[in-house]
Amino acid sequence: MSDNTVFEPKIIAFLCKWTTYAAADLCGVSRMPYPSNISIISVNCTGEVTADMILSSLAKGADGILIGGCRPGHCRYEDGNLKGSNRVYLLKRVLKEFGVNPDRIREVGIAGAQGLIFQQAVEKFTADIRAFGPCPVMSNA
Amino acid sequence: MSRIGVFVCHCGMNIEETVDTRRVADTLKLYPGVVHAEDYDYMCSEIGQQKIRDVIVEHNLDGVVVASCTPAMHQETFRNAAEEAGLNRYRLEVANIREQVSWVHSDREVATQKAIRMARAAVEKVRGDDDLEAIAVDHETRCLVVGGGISGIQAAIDVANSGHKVILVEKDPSIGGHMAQLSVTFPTLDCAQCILTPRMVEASRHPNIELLTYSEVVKVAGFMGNYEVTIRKNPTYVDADKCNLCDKCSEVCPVGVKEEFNEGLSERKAIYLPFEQAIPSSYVLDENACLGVKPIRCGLCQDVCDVGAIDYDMAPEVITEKVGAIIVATGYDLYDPSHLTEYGGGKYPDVVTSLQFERMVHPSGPMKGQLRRPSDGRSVKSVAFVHCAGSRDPGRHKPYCSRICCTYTAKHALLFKKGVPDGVANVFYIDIRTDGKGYEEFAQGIISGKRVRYIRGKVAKVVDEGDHLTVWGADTLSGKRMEIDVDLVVLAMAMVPSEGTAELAKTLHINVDENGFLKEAHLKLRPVETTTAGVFIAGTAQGPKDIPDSVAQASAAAAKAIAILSADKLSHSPEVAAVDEQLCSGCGICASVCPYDAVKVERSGIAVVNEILCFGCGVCAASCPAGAIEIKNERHAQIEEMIGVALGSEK
Amino acid sequence: MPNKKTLAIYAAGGCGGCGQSLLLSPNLVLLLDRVDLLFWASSTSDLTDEEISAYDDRGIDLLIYAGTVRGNENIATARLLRAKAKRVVAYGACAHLGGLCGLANVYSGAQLRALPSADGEFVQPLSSVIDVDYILPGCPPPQAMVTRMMEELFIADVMPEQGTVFASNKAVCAQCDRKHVPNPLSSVRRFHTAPPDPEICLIDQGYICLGPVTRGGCDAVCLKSNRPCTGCAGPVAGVRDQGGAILHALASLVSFPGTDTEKKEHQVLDSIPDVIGTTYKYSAASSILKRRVNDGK
Repeated sequence: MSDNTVFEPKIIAFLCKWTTYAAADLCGVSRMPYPSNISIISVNCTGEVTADMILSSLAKGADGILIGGCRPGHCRYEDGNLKGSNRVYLLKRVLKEFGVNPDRIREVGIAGAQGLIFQQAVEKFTADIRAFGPCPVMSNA
Repeated sequence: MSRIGVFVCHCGMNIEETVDTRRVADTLKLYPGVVHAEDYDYMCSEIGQQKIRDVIVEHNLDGVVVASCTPAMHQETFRNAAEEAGLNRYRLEVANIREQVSWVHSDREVATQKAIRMARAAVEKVRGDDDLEAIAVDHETRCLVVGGGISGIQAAIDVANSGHKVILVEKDPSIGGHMAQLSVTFPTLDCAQCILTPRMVEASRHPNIELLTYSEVVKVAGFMGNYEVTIRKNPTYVDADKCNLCDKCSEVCPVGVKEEFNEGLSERKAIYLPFEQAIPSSYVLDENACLGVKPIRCGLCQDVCDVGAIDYDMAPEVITEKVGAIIVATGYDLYDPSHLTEYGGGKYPDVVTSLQFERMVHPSGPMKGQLRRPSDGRSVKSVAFVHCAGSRDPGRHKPYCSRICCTYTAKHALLFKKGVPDGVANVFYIDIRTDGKGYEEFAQGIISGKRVRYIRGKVAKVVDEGDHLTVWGADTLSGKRMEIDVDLVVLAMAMVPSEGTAELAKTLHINVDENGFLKEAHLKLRPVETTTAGVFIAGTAQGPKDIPDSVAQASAAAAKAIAILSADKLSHSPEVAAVDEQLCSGCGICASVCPYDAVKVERSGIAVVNEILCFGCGVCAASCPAGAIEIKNERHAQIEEMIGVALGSEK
Repeated sequence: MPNKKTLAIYAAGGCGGCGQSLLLSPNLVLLLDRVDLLFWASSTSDLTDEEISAYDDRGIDLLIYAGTVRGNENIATARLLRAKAKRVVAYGACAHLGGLCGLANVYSGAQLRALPSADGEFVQPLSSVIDVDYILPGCPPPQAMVTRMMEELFIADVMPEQGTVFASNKAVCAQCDRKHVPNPLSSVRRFHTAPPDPEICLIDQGYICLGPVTRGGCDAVCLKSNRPCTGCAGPVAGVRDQGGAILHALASLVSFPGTDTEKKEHQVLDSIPDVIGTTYKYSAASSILKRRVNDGK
């Protein structure tokens, strides 16, 4: 990467199709723009997201990972979101020990009607990742 | 080797405006496994669908990707087309390049690159898809209706008339809802009780309807066609079959509390009849108001009851019922007037809400139809009606329009003039929105009739001067400020979802919108469905509306429910968990984490999935340390490839 | 009698346990009878790179490499041995996964170089520097697996397929007899506080056991001695990141539904004292993250 290139963060988002994915769609319907750095992958529940998916994403060049699901207590599969959240909690400890900034993983709980909140979350996260700089894991892989 | 076809939709200009769809198709044509790629105007049209069918046959495709709008819109449409051409419907994936690309990004180059990546990711997903067959499931044939207002009653009757049994749950001691409180309804000026009570009686007597009043839904488990609902029946302490409405108990009761039916304008006793036409037709003991039931602190009501209807030993009863569909019609409440501090709402006794006014003009209401000031009982000779109290105010209160207030305020003004012919009625309005059938004619008759003064301007403040109220407003048409003295102010309060709606939505796993109303699956085309299959919504719980719209939605929801209840068998998605027996070591972690008990470790030492109970949430797949259980067509290998492609790490 | 196969054994950095596992094998004498042992560094002799270079390319039929690859010296020797061998076995957890030594990878290069005896370089699994034909997992490899390796490599007529791992594809749980008493993980118990019930699954009792993610074939000897599996044989077939796999299983088991906050769950998760040491004990060097990076924090 030459000094002339501006760092454009690459962000992978795992979004629960019932909530945050729907909020992203609402953003679209309402024509509320957000940075294009984010690529969205739909999951049935954030409880479906594994440590492997997160670590793999980092190894394949993701600078940030956004996990969007239901707020606590609202998961339609009882507590899938909670289990996913627990995994991220432990994984962040692993990331820290390996020197990776754990804030590169962000969890959000956004309801399907909250298009504006989604837009704001993506804007903020993209700005934060831009400030962190490129994630060094890929060059390690 | 895969044989995948890719179709990139322009969606008119919706996608084409920002994404170079031709380039997306051309780039995908070169992608490994893609044997055909094209772009077209409207893939969802008949021509578009025919293209899919034709190409599947011509090129012997084993997978299709449609890059278009969000899957929620047309995935089923496209999958139907694929199935008709002989391709298994689960081998078609949609790449979202409209809601999540063309509509949110503006740079054409960036958007096109992203669309290419998303389309490739969908190709990777479809590459790993297997043939799947939907699973046929038996189901319950009863329906649960939550809420016994006009909407719930209508829905219950419609479902019951189709031959299916209904359980109608209402949290108040009587069905009827707010409509029972109204005096007359616009535009016909029908007496509200006269048109409502026959429905109430029909619901209570219908052989297919089981009425559970003073009851609440506390838990819902299961899925469309097979819901298990837990209901708590709260004790009324009165045997409804024995009660003969003699009123002796109420007479001797020492406790007085505000009467809900009269919106606090009168008092009732702790043991009371909700209202004259209450169904069930029985007195009810409000244990929160009562001095004490367990242990008995008073006991006077039981002493005087000649028929032994009062039973202090009643206890809450918790029951579980199995139903196939659920209709939620939990109605509205009025926005708390105490939020409108500048109007003295909730503070000045002579500043009342629209529902309170209904009770005041009602001939059987607390004032027997004689309009009197609540503070000092003097006759009301002048009144100010305030439109949009709490509505259309995104800065401080509710952003939406409550829809019915313009028409009912015109009605209120008319009723006032009928009751007080020489009285002065002032209506402060912003707009006149009388859009229902007959409403414009009805309201114009009142507005232009010159008996009522219509002033275009918001009310800034109401001041209580003791023996009268002063209303500070403005007449924007003449440009003059106004200060009017009146005896009574009536606020057309905003409608809000009824208390407990948010908790109930959570219990039912349905969403609420940004204003707390129950959220429909699609605002335009699916107004009575939710994103939870088998749960439908109707009436003001979904948003402010009048009685005709509430009744229409109730019947619509009933029709949707009947479709489920009368189906021969229901179809269960085959996108469920599957175990790789070569990798499963029987550690049992999947069984521990499954919220539905859908997977268990058998004696063979291998986990086995009960497909009917599985909803494909993926928690087991994510918890299995060996990767031995995965969701069909959403396997880790597929997601792994999608990640790589989405990141553009494979150019 | 067919020509004897030539065998060479090389021990790189490590504890010597792998060499002992061979010495302990009851089949060792039989083995030595069937092969021409060229060298066994460092159990019986030591060997310089020069001496290794003297062998013909592909001249050694079978090369067993045990121990870590750390530092340029190891890498060079490994590559040299690869050139001289027809088939290479990565023997033991250090060669297979990086082993316990791989835990050093969570330290930065600067921290490692500051240690008096360290080479200052990161640990890698053998397969990161050369092509590996066979893997014998374990720390040390359990006798059941050692015997299997010997049988398949030296007694069978046909060489096993390249890529064979001399262990089960399934997890240890398949060989463990303990009973299940499904239980959400409401607290994490440590072995030094109380010995577990020998009949019941350790995870069900709240102890952390890596059995579900670890290759079996070891007869679950640790479990049968009332100790947990610590994951020495590496992840089951198809799992790339052993630590990630077990941590997401454990995290999923911690659940207090009905509460709207995650306080209780976090308390339980926080009580795992050393996440890396527990979940990536042998496999830190072969995890997806591989080694410490410098990410600003």
